[in-house]
Amino acid sequence: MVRRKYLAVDEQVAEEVFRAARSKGMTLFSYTTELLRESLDIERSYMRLKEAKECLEAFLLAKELGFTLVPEYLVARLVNKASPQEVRKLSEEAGNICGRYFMLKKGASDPIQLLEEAAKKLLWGVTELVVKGSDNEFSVTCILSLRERNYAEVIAGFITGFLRAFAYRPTRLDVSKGMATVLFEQAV
Amino acid sequence: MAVPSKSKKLVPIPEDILKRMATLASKHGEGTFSFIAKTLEEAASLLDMGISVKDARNLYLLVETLKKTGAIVMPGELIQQLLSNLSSTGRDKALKAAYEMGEWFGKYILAKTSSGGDSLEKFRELMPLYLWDASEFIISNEERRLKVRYISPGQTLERTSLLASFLEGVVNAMGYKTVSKEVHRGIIALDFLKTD
Repeated sequence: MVRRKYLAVDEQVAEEVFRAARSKGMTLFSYTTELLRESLDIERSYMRLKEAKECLEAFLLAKELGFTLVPEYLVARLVNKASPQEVRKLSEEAGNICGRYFMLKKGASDPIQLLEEAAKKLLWGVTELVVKGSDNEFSVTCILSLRERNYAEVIAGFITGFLRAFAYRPTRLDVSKGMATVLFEQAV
Repeated sequence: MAVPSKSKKLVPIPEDILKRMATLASKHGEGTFSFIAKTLEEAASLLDMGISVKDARNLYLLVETLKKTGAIVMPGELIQQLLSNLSSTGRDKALKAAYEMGEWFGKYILAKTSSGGDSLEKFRELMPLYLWDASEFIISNEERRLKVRYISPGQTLERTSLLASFLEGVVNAMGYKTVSKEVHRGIIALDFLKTD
């Protein structure tokens, strides 16, 4: 017989696990064992359960906002067939929807933090995002994995649209292969 | 999401798991019991989001692999607009690119199951995660025949065609030849036959 130990956990967590166990027709003990075994498997794969959860949140967010998975080389081909103005405009619309979504879900207290979160979850092609300046005037620079000029326009457009939702307006744009910098100021 | 409360409940756990969790907790510089409680809390919040720990693990591995192979997420409407800009030659090239990405994915599934495991099961497990915008995705097989059905009413014909090429690439790479292919706006019906 398996030897048991007892662990004191938050009542609500225990209730949640108990409900899930019951819905699967399992006992609390066997279900907890399964959950912890799977969690150990995750850790053996050199990842943390927290990271898997963040990844899931990103996936659900992309789904909710109508994003789609595309191979980088197809993106390169598609953006190069359009004008920089067109891709930036289309991307700005998407960024603005995303900004409004974040504002609605999380409030408007820290737009930069929200932009960083959105970039981490949705802009896989952004390898680094650097924000410099004050609350009223700042620059956002993105380093990109895809070194196509028009992809940098896509990212610049997305960031512009996102921050427009928080009443920031772009004052300067500097786009090159693999990098996009946008300067913003607070709209009066 | 589970809101932490002050009252506690006792949860039974097997001693062997406790020992393994203790090793892990010390590796992360945390106390055993708080580490296990945190793990259970994370697992419970995943359940709250309607996904099992196992599915979350599969999704994480898939996303990490996709990122490494150069897949990115893009606003669907932007891709749609850019696709409609393409000439017929450009569209053919885009379909070829999607097919090649599918082929890669099929080979990835075969590699993942090469040391044991059913490749079709893996396909069934991974595809719904990948095709997050599908309202219906059905894979059925009988003897050597395999049927794939996809429905997503919001998709345009261009995006549906791209996805059909991707799916064809996946299944062809897994050793099935295409016997029929029907693509309409938001609907894909593909039939395959296992090759020897």
